[in-house]
Amino acid sequence: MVLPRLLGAGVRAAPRGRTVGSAAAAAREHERDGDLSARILSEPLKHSDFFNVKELFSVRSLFNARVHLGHKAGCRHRFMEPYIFGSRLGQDIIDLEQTATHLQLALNFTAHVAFRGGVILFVSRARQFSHLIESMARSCGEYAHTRYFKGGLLTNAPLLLGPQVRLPDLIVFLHTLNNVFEPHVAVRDAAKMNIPTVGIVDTNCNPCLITYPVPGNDDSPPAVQLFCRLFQTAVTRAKEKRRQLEALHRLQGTLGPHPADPATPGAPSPGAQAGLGVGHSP
Amino acid sequence: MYCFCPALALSRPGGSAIECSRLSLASSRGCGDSAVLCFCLAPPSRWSRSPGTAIGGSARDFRPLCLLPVCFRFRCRHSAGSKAPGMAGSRLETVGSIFTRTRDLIRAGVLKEKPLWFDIYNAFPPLREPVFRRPRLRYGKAKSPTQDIFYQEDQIRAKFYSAYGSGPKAFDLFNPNFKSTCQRFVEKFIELQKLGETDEEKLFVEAGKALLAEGVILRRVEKARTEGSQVSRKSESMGVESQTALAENPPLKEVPQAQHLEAPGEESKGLSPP
Repeated sequence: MVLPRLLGAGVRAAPRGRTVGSAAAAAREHERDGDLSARILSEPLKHSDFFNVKELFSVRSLFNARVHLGHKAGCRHRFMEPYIFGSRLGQDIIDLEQTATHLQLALNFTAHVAFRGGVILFVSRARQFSHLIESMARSCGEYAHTRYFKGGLLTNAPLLLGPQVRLPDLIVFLHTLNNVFEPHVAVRDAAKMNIPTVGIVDTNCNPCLITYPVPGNDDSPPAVQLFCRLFQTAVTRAKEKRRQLEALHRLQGTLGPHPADPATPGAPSPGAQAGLGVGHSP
Repeated sequence: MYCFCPALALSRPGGSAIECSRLSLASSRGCGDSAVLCFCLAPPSRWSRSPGTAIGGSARDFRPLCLLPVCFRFRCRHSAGSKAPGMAGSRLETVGSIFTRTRDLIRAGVLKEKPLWFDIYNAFPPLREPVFRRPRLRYGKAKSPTQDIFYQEDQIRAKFYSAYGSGPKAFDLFNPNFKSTCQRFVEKFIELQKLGETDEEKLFVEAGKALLAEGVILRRVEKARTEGSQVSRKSESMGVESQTALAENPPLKEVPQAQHLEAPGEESKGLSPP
């Protein structure tokens, strides 16, 4: 799947069709929009877990999904040793306490990127899960690339994809290795293009260049299904939160300096209920 | 872009027309990966004087700033630039992390716009900075610090498997709460151990009996298999020894003698009863 072209490289709070009215009024509105968007963007960063991603999983649920099972000791990558709990009869067991911390950070980062309207690309080269990842990406409104990764897709994007292409703001690797057990080219290319990465690293993977590695099993179907579900929920939650906050701020803006009646029927009511702060499950 | 004609710039606010136009041309092409060093021939006699002065002035005023031609442009590797109009970047994935590179580019003023992820990374940094490291091999006696996982029950399990082989029931891995025959045996063993027994062989037998009482039949691994394996092992070792030095002949002869010793013993046993 080729990354579709997104024209107009990422200008977020652009005034849409403000031709009517005086220039001064338009400028004031633009300023207010800018203030609102700045407030919306800065507010979630003050909380440690704004989207409450911690409740999406537990160590027990990771264990039941067989996330702790690694490869045999001979396949072990040297840089994965800190994340390995031990070796049971030759099979590496990943430390799920560390996995839980790393997964919380990764999901939090993904949610924040989705909140800010970032483009997320899910990459994997495991053919067994290709359909699952593509359908998951489509359902949360993001992108996936589970086919052959052409040479300069990230580094030579204007040539391969056309001029004015917006590159992804986050790349999520569900499988860090390609079909010949070598590191996926996109890991290095994302580091080259200064794109942050989140990746599920198994015991035979190199976690160095991945910004937010998540040590875990990437071969068992239950494990991959769990990770897909977690990322999908995080992204959907973040986007929903953004919609709610925008609606809320727009409402507060239109009411002016005397907000007499903040609660109104219709779409903004869930926003009013949710409010700012630690989000609850929708 | 660096203009190596400070004297020109200071003395001629209007600027020499040619140099200025060349400078502006260079700047419009974008400072992608080329640094423009403008070396200007200075014919100051024409411009430095006040308009009224005659042109054919004294040679004193002629100050050649340098002798190189105008607009000598050479390409230097300016890694922060990019040919496409848009974001500058640094493609050195082996140098620092994406965060350090982007932060330094912003501080230097090369990257005008903060990327989307920058504030998020600042607020929630990862546990380890994603710096490139070259995987090195371990040499000599250096071993990986990963430990083996063993439990106390593993000793009991080892005895069970050596006596009974793999149990009568197949393992059902789809069931997360599955208990194999070996696991039930181990639990019985530990129960009896807690009751106060100390002799391990007794405990082993008792645990086996307890399982039998519950309806689990445990079949011991056949002893003939172990005897046959011993004989084959001996013949193998004999074959190996015969291929080696002649000095090992005496031990070679001893082994068949030992076997022969057993046989007459058996024959005598067979003859004596009737």
